[in-house]
Amino acid sequence: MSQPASNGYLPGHSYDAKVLLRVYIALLVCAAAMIAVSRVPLEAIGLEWVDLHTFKALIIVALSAVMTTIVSGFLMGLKYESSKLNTLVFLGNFAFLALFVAFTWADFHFRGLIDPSFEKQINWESPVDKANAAGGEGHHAE
Amino acid sequence: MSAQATAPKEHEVAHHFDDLEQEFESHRMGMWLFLASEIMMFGALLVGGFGLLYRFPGAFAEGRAHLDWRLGAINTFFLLTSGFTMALAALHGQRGDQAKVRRSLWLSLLFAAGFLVVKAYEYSTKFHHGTLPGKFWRAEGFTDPHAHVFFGYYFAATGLHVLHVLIGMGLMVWCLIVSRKVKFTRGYITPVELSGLYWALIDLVWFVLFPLLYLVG
Repeated sequence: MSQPASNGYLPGHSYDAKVLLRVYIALLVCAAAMIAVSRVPLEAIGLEWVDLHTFKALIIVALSAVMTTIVSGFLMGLKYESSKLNTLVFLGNFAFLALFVAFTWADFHFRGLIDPSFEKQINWESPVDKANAAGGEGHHAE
Repeated sequence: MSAQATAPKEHEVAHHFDDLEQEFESHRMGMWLFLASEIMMFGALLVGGFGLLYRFPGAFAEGRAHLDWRLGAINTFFLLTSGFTMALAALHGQRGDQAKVRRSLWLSLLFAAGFLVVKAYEYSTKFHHGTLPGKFWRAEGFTDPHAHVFFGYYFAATGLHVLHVLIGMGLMVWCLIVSRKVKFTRGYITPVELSGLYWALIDLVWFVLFPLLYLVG
């Protein structure tokens, strides 16, 4: 019963220890690069002509995308699939997420323009202000 | 590794499948569809996070200063290493080495537990300082009036992630139990493979959460 299919097929891709080790090291390097980019003061090396905030964020997003590709391709085995059906499911996910991001961004960005009273409608009672005010009365002194 | 009362048996293809290939590919696809729903759930959470970052950049900058990126880095290491050992478990499973499968699973459990220990330490410092969500907030000295928004998001996002880590650890334990009953072969590693897929998803979510909470800004 538990034999390979009649055509000799064995399910799943064959794992290779060397590939796994390389994948692991690549992921560690990416993670280290991510941390380094966020910590290195780029102003100090004469890169003040770019918007550092955006520049760093873009590099970190790119590294995150590389790590996602490595994990889904090698550890989750999408690279070795014959039908590519699961790859379609995975990429389809990102298509719908992109749609979601687009609508959310549009809402965040334009709602105040269309309805200027929007900002006033939100009444955020700040617990931070409350705690700071209560601090003067000796409440929960840190 | 310990003495076994009964030797693990070979896996038998369920009667409603033609062969191992059909069974394995069906299980794998079922898992991928489930992971797709998980990605959409975490997607909503992450898009919400970016929305809050866009709306309250000051709160995120101030909140981030109260998180230790080194603890985040250690946890990244733990997750990457346990992902690696889960893949090793699948590799040893294909070679039919039950003892090494179990060793890899135990290692994965160990690193996952390491992740939880660091997280517990992080949570305990937040409780100590009173940087808690919404009405539970009691920390003083924060200048941004929306600082609590960052910590509310921090607990919601990492809380859901930690819940997944716990479920993933449960899957590892399940694999350990299965490994005593069923023999893994080149043709049959389904429990380890599917648990590995789930664990890889936990890694993927962390690749976005870690920079969003600890690094960017």
